[in-house]
Amino acid sequence: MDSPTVLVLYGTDEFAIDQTIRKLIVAMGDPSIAEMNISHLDGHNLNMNDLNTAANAIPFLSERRLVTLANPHSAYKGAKELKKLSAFIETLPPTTTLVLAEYLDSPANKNKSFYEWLQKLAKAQGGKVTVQTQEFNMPGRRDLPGWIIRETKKQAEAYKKHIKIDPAAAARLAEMVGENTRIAVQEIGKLLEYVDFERNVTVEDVEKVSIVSAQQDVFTLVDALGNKNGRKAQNVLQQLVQNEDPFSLWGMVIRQFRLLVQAREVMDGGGGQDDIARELHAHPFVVGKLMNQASGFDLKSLEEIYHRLLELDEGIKTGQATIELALDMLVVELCG
Amino acid sequence: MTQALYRKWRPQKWDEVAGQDHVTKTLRNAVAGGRIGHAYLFSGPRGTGKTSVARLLAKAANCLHETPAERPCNQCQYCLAVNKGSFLDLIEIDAASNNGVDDVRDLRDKINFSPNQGKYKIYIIDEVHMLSTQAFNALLKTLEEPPPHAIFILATTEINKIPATVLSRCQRHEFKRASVEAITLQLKEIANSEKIPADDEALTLIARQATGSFRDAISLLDQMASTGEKITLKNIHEILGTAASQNVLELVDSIQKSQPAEGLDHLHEALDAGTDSRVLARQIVEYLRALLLIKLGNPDQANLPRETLKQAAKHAGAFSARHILHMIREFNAAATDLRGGWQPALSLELALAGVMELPEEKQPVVLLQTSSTRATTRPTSQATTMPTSQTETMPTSQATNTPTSQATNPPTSQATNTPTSQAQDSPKPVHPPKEKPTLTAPKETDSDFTRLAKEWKKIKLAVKIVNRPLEAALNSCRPKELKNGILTLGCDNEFAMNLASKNDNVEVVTKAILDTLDMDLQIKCVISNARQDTPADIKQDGMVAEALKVGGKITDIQD
Repeated sequence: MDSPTVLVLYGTDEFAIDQTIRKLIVAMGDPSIAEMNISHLDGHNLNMNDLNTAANAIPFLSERRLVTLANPHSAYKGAKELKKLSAFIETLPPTTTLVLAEYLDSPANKNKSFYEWLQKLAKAQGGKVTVQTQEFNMPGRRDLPGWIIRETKKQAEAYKKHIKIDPAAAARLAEMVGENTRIAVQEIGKLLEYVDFERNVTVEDVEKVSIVSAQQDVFTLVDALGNKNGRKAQNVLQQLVQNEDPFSLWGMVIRQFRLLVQAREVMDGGGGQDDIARELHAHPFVVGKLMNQASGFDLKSLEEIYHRLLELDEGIKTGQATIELALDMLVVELCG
Repeated sequence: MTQALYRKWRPQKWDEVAGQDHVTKTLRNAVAGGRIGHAYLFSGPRGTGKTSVARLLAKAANCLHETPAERPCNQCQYCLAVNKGSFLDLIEIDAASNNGVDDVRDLRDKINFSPNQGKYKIYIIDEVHMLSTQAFNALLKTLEEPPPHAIFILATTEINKIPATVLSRCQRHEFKRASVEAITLQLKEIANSEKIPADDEALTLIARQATGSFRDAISLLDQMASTGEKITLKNIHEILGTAASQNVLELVDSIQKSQPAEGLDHLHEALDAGTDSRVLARQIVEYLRALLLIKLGNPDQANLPRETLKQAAKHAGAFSARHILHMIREFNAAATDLRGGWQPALSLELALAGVMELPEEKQPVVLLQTSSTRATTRPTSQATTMPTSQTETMPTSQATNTPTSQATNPPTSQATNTPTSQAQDSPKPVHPPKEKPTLTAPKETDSDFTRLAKEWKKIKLAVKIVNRPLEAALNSCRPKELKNGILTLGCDNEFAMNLASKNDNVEVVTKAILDTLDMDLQIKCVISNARQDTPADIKQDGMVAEALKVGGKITDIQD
């Protein structure tokens, strides 16, 4: 490796990007010496001098230097700036590896300005410098269970154990963590610890140990309300009230009914799952559950409930009732 | 000085941590397998064991016992040092008072020094949600990659205040509220060991009062024990000030028996004993809420002592859910009503008077208020009155009543069958509404009004076919009075009144009533205060109306 290397890591999965950088750092060898040859910079508050010094320094007791620059795009925005960066890259000493880590909010192909930036950057080099690009994107909702299964296997194998997570458990966990690979990794670690790396992780384990997403419970609550199961609704409600911030809980209940009103309206107009997903900008998986639930109500009663929620909301916010009392009353009114 | 019981009884071993198996099992396995993570976040309500478990983990991480599974041993020098609070590498930080970015920078600077005694340097940051945003950001990098000898344990009661970036970098453990049984068990053990004489039910009541917090429960036990007397239910009620609950029970009793005088007596008994009127109102609401829970089949959540529970079950059986709701609204209004300041008992007395009879004849009114299909024009003023005495806006009764009323009254009535086109073609009603009623001078009975109120919904339906906006406005009106062939409609706001009293619109309504009920009436619209209806013959913006609005009553009318 006697040519300067530029590595562009980009995508929505900042965790995976960080992991890749971590691997590069580990590859530098002995941490105490490696530390002297590694610089971390951030494009949000970049000082050109710092970058210059970091990149052009001669490695100390080591063959290479590693310079990471996070969010380069925000430091080099326009075409002019970009030219500067290209020029800078060409002057890199052969012993330096420069890592550009760009964290994106949406996949690169949707993020037009970044994509163009990246292409220009690649083009401008003219082959003098090796530029490698690598994209890391969050697994989508559909792919998350599969991702969880792979990650579980990986984590278990790190301790030389061959245990797995049941597919159902993976799906449940995916539902809980949403699109956040960092939290998923933490939860998987916790689950493996809970089963002591001795047996496969089951749905029960996930429900017992993992962070319960309140959204799921709100769903169950509304389900119970739809079935006029006052006892169950009350039970779930009690749990929610104990564990949740009352105002966010209240917001979630309102949201659920708003979604139901919208879903029901599309259904009444003859729309199917896809239409609802489009109208509500929701994932088909969520919509499927929503449709199930909406079939327990008719539009008229949903609208009435929604108006009632508005009344209760005003009552709560003018100090005439507590959220707990309002929710209790709602349950009784709907199921009593 | 004696040590407070809850400090003395802080769990020193994993087994002593009650009710958090899902947390302790995971942490124990991690300790036993030598896989302790570098950042933990403990969240949960107060008194559920977060700090205790954090200290246990700190102790276990540094314990010198040979078998990892046995750590903490509570015998080695480090364990004892932690127990004494003299272990140098256990750093407890109260984020509530060290919440600035400088505090975190200081921490960051010192964290790189190797531990003084043990293997790990352990930072317990309590109440971590109090850190400022900058402080969190400063902590982030350290949290993600602390030096190998450092372990972070963050504890918080308010997980929703922790930034997502911090959440995702810690192994998060959620502590649950302890069950009443678990707390009772713990209390019994403490009472036995400390030789505190106590009744079992008394301990259960303490556990209930603690609402899932061990610390609260043990503190209360400590407080009770300090009197030196045997702890009984009665003592606890006295100390907690829940003694008034007997009065509440009796009050509800007299409501059930429809004995206002007796009810007033109980009310005043409690107030004379020094209970604040709003506190009393809240106690009543709490009890009524418990009745609701029992009614729904969840007596265990009612949080009532056993002997009260029996009576509460009887009460719950005696009242309909609708009646209980009605009572809750009335008394809740009393609890939040600030206007009773000069006469504290007044709002309670009014509430009592309001709940004495479940207004049977009000039930139809229920229908008309909620039957709106398109209530977009529903005024907000009505909404604000929701938790007060309004039974009119109860979807419950609506839900139960609508299907039947629809089923028994299929839309065969003339009004609903009238095609829209016809109605539009002949806007003039067939029956001239203005003269006829005075000619016939119908003698209305109460039942006429009741019938009207009952069928109000159908009338509105008939109106809807002809004039949709009018129907929407009618949602904010309700029949108030029927006198001398004149139907008074009480409107919630000016907008509805103006719309409803337009000549054309009056005709539409008159016709709808005629078609539906065969009653020929004149219609008069007034604004009525939703809380206190003003009689129709009183000038709406006059002194008397104003007086009625603030709670006055007409006792005598002299011409």
